[in-house]
Amino acid sequence: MGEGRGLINLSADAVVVGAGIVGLATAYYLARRGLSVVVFEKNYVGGGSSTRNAGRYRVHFGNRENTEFAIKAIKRLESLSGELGWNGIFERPGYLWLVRREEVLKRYEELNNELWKPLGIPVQILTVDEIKDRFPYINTKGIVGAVFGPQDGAFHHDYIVMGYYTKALDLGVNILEYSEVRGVGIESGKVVNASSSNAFVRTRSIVFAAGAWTGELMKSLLNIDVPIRPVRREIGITEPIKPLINTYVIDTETNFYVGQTMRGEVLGSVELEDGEGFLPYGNTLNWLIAWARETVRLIPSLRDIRVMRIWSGYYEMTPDHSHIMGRLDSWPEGVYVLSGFSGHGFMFGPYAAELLVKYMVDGVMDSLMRPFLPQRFVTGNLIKEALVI
Amino acid sequence: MMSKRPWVAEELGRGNYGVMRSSRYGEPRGFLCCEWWCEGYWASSGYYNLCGDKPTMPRKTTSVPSILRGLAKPSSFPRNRLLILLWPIIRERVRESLNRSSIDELPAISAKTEYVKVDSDVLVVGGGLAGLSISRELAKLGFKVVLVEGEDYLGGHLIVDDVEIRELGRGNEFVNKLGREVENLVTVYRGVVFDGFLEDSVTGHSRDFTKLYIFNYKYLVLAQGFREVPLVFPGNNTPRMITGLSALKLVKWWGYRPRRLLVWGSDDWGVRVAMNLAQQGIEVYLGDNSAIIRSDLYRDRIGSSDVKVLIGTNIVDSKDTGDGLRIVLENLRGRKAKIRRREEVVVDAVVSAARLPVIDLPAQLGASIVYAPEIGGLVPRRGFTGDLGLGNVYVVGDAGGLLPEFLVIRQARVTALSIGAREGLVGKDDLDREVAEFKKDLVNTNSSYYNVLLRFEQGLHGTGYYAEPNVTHVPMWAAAGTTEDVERAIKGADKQYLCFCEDVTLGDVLEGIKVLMHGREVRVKVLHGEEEEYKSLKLPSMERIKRVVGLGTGPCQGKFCLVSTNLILSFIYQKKPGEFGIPRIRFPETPIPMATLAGGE
Repeated sequence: MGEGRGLINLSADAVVVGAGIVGLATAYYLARRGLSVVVFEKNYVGGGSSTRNAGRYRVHFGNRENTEFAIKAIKRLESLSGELGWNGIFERPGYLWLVRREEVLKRYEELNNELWKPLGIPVQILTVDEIKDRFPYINTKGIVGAVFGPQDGAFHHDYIVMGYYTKALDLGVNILEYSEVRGVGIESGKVVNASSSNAFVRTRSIVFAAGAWTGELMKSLLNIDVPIRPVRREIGITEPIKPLINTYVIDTETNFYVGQTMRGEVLGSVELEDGEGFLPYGNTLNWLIAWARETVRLIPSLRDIRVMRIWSGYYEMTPDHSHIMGRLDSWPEGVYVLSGFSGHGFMFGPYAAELLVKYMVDGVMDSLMRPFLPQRFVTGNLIKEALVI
Repeated sequence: MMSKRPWVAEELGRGNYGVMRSSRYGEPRGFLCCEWWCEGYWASSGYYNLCGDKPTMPRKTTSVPSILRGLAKPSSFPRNRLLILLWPIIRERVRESLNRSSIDELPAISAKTEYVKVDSDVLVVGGGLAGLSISRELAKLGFKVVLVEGEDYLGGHLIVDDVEIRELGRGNEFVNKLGREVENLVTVYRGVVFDGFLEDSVTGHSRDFTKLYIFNYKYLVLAQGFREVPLVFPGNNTPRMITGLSALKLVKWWGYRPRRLLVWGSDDWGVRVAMNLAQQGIEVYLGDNSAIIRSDLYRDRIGSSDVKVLIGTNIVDSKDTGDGLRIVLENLRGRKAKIRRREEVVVDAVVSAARLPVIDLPAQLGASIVYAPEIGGLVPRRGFTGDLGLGNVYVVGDAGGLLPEFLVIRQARVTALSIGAREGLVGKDDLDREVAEFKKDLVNTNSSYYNVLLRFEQGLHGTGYYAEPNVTHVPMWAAAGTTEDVERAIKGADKQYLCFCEDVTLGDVLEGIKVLMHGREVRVKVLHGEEEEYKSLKLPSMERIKRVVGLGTGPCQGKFCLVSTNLILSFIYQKKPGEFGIPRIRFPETPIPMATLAGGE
């Protein structure tokens, strides 16, 4: 590819594709190490999944790799308000997994004993009476018990995105909105430039942090396979009311979840088994009715509350529901990926970006990063989930 | 139609204007609006059915301690270092202090709810003049028409209008007759709100929340008319502000008897609101920040009425004296003006007749929305037929541009014939003839409509003829009529509220823009020689502004503020509204209870 005619000509130490939480954090940490950075964003900052999520984080995962990563990542996430100068509206109302089958409850207990307790993040296994006592708004019919993770919490995504955005600008990062990546120039197996719909950048490194679009982009631009596929999920929010729902409730059978925001809106969804691919950002009556029915069934007092707006967004799913970070030796030199977070990009993104930058700049690979290398899809050594939660 | 005297009318009768409290700070505040679409706005502060006979409101109105108030401004709240530091300690206090209803205070929804399927050839949304007119034309062509109207009555804003209208006579008599005729021709659902568009369905709900309607249609006609929005001026956080339509209903139906009112907005409708109120024996001022009365049809008639005219002024300050609102007005163009003028009036309330086309549903569909100053702002229409370019969706009446009533009726006929032509029921010649007649009437009525004609005729897309103009005036921004006034007007930006759900001021929005521009000061006055640089300056989109200051995220979903703010910003920065855009408007049009969606078990 030649020089970009009619494009803004730039040069930078690194190009980041995507200005969501992951891309912005990567750009910021690269810039903090003294690198010059250009970010390509095909829409507006945060216009993908970063501002469409439920704004919740947890340390409890069904396997060691993700749980260990989460413990560090959440600690990092919770420190961001001070660092970025934007209030992340953090709180720890916890996660409450409602269980409807004894054997599932038993698996949780095992997981707690084998994994969570030893790592210092024990959960509380609650009886139905304890649920009634602590979460009196829940209809416990059909529920055999629950798992409560008090370490899990909530944040406000817009402000954290804005925090990284302004901090990155402070350090001179050039963030190009409405600038869609179009090509990566490779010479002698090395990245030499990257171009977008309106810019041409001479660079030696490119980081793909394009969320659900990463798989498609790396395939079309570089013929690299990273197994990231988009799955659309719908979500909705109600009018605000006084504080009622004091935790984040998840029904492990129906994949229903519900929580309440700082402003008082009740936010939730029921995850239906469809939505493969880049479906439009729309909603369906099918989902809306299912969500309303589950809401009224589980929290009967919410029957009078009014739904204010609904929307949808993409999960960036990988085969083992875990993110992909780093690079493969077979890729052109200078190509990196940080994506495929499978629904926990906001909670993991900032810390993962820091680790990737350390790897890119210092060549040091943190032990926590190792399980998430793209290598695992070549060797078939995927991350195993003891329990999908 | 003359529904029971609403609770709020009693309160106003007692001189109690401060019935509503803001959701964020708990201060007396509000824009009184008794139309169905305003219910969402009240819900933000936990009030329901203020214009019903039995309202529901939070038992305890809380208020944020004044020390927090300054820190908690929507623009600075997320960045305030002290709040970040203290956050873990004050979090619960902040949460509790927001003025909301608790779950048991929400109005109870009937235990019996059901889904109702409604089939039609053409679904018409809106039962005002445009919706009724097109329904009649379509019915005559043999279409099976279903009309949905959110109010319990048909006729839209004309229902309370007694002033003579060109070719129609008295507005209320005309629409009452038309309404009766249409009810005999087509299926009419009153008190039904159209929610909008889902991928697999198009829905609505009854305002008593017992029914969820699922609509099937071949063609959809959006005839939602206009919406009066809050006026923006220093001190507009007063609760003494009412929409023109609600003011007329309050006075004519429910016995509200103010001594003195200031009606703002001097287009056809604004003048008629003023004249209607004056007819009721109320002392009425008519103000506008336009150089002359905007209405060509009524400019000469206002002289023979009792209305006192304050045209060519800005509202530069206002204060609630407890016994009324003292408003200070000054001439346009400040000190540069040839004739200097300063007036003070004390009124019971300000009546907003500043109106905007209702664009929520076209925006939900992602239709492009463009600015046409001659017909009142952002107009989601292209082509004379009102075809939105989405296949089967049309917009008629004021929702597509504010036109005199007799032209609304003509335009409805054009759209009906166009739909008829697509179905082979109307010959092309007949349609062409009707379009030609409409154009002739349009230009004969007002020469400035020639621009409108060009914009619509040549198409808004692709031909290259059409260029969206910069905003030349914003009627609802009562603080600045001309570009010369802008600098002074934004000095009091912190006292000018834009978003009444989330208490966002113009000052917050300007601050948010500054943050998004990374501290770069965007000058309002462009110096000679800087025009090119200024033209290429890209300002943040409304979508991003919304995410920084919370504008339009309350239960009204931006109906009060999004378009106004877009126009005000475009005016301040001399940009085209398309450059700021409108955030994605999401389903549903107004909030729907969970129980209604869940249906009867």
